[in-house]
Amino acid sequence: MNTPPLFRLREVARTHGRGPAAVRALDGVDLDIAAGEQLVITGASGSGKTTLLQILGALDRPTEGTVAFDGSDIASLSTTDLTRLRASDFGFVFQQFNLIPTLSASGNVESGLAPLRLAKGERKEKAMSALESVGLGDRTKHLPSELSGGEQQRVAIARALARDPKVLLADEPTGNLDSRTGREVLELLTGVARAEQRTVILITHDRDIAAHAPRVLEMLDGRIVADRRA
Amino acid sequence: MFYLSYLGAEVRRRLGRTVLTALGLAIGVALVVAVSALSQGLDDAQEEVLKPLTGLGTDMAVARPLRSTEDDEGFASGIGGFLQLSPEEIERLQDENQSAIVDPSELGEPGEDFESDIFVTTTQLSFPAAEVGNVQGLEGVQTAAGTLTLSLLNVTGTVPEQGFQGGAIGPGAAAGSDINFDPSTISGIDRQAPDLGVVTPAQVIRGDWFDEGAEGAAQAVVTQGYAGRKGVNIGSAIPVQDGTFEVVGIAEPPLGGSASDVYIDLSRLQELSDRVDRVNGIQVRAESADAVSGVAAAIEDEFEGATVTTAADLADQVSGSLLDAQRLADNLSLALAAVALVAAFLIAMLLTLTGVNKRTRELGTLSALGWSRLSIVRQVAGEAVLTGIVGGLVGAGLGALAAFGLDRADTQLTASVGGEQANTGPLGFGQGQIVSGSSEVSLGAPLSPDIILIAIGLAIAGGLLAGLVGGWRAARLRPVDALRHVG
Repeated sequence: MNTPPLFRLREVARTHGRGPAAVRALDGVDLDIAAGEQLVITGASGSGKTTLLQILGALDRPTEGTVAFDGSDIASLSTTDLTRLRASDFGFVFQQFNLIPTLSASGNVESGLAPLRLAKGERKEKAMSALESVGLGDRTKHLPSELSGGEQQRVAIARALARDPKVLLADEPTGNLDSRTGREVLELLTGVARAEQRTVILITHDRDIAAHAPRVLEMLDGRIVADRRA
Repeated sequence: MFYLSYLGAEVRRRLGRTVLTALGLAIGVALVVAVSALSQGLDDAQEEVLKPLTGLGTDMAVARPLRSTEDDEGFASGIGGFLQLSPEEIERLQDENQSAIVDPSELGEPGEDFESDIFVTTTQLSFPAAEVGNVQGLEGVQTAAGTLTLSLLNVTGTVPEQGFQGGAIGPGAAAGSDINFDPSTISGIDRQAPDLGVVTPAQVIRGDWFDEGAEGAAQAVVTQGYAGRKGVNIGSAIPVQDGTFEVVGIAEPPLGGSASDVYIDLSRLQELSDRVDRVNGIQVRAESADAVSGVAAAIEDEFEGATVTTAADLADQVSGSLLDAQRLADNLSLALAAVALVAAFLIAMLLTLTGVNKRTRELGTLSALGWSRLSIVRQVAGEAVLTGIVGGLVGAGLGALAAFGLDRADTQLTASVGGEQANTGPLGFGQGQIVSGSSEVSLGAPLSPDIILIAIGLAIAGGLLAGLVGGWRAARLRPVDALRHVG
């Protein structure tokens, strides 16, 4: 008996705006993603990559179709339930890092743990452990402004991983980094995820990264035009 | 709790914004504190001026003034002009004033020197002392005491020659003759009700109040003006008709108050002036300030012809810089404080909203990480409340400093009462006249803990309001929209 996929998307569409100005960012997407799978999404700007990632990460709802996650349709969940789902099952890494400038590296990691309502000691311990796993054990008290771009993205990865999410979603995590640092960050991200059998969904323009990914989706005009497996 | 460390980091590391917002609130709070202290100082100054004559704001004076139908002509209209009086009252008035008409033949042989004291009822008709009990029985009256205030004419001179034989002379005929009329006023007070008399122990500036025992019946308290005019001092003996009174105290009548020259025991004055069981004034204390107007109306209803003067009536006669400052405080300063506070609120709101707007992406990230709307609102509101607390404390400190400065400036305000002599009698001299003149009083700016707490509370409320609005705006945004925001 086949294991049901972690994600099952059917006829998913997302339209922004109304009337003549409406933009169909996703247009009839069918997609299955298995638990533990590492998936790279590529495509030109405006092809719908980020919209697809946002729907997969429960940040947005489709205007048409169904999105089943772990067997439940998340398209029909309330805003509060979507928030809970993000807190419990998803970890995000953004292109702009999106760290809180007034909090230290450990504070930023703790901000991702805050919705889980852990005890202070456990929260700090998890934050420290996550920072050590990304090689920033000695930079925990530094503010984002005191860290390099690569270090900031490592903090963002630590923030996402500390929550022990089922799914790690990263939207062009290397977009703001030089190629060497970008490669290091990507290796870190995929290496940690692979070791922990985590599902990773990654958007990138980097053909080299895509070439080494186990599964690559290529998008164009809101549709999946290619789904390649290594 | 992560919330608190995040809150502390935000307030500490965005110091410029925190200080600016707190300062805006602080200025508003400081103005409220300073203006409230100043306003309280003005209230205190007014009370200091008025308190001696208004007691605790619950006192009233009841009199039965004579009203001539031809007021402008004064005594010329004659006793028959008092048309509202009953025939018995007119007869009584004639009897009481008859003694003012002096028959020279009764003074001695022509050419002989003489001295005589005459009591005259002038503008306040006497009535039975039993009315005091009636007033005492009215609802809302705490206590009542009768007084008798009369004009005392000290007549001295030489008995005129035959030209005056068989004629009558009075004060109006004294000019050009060898007879002098020296008028003064005298009041009899109920020594058993010292705080309710026309002169109270608090008004005695030198010496003592009357002895409550039998000795008090032979004692007198005189006003400062009278003592200076007559060269009278503590221990001096004042002859009043057949009696002699020892001066035991010098009193300073309050500004705007009703003052006589000499005060003696009520029973003794009634006896000496042949007005036993008669009084012409009742001092009344109401049970509460709220009861004053009701009691005043009841007295005027029950007691035909009576007029009631309340503390508020007396306060209305006060003018001068004190009143001007009070009006300024009432009208302008409080409005200024309200405007400042509203402006401070708006500034705090604007700065908070601007700050939240700049943090849209940050707050959107938190939402993406699973922070609930309530957590985001709580976070932003908490920061704003903390800023409000800082603003409130700084503002209270600045306001207290300003109030302290005003207090130390020792500004003098003047309270004045015009020279209107409402009770001037038909004989041309006053009886229980309103004390006119000016009085200086220091303007303070006392701080009350209530005002400081209220001001800090307002600053916190301002911060909370700004935080709730800002937080709710941020929390309402969809995470995808917030993350798209370029802040």
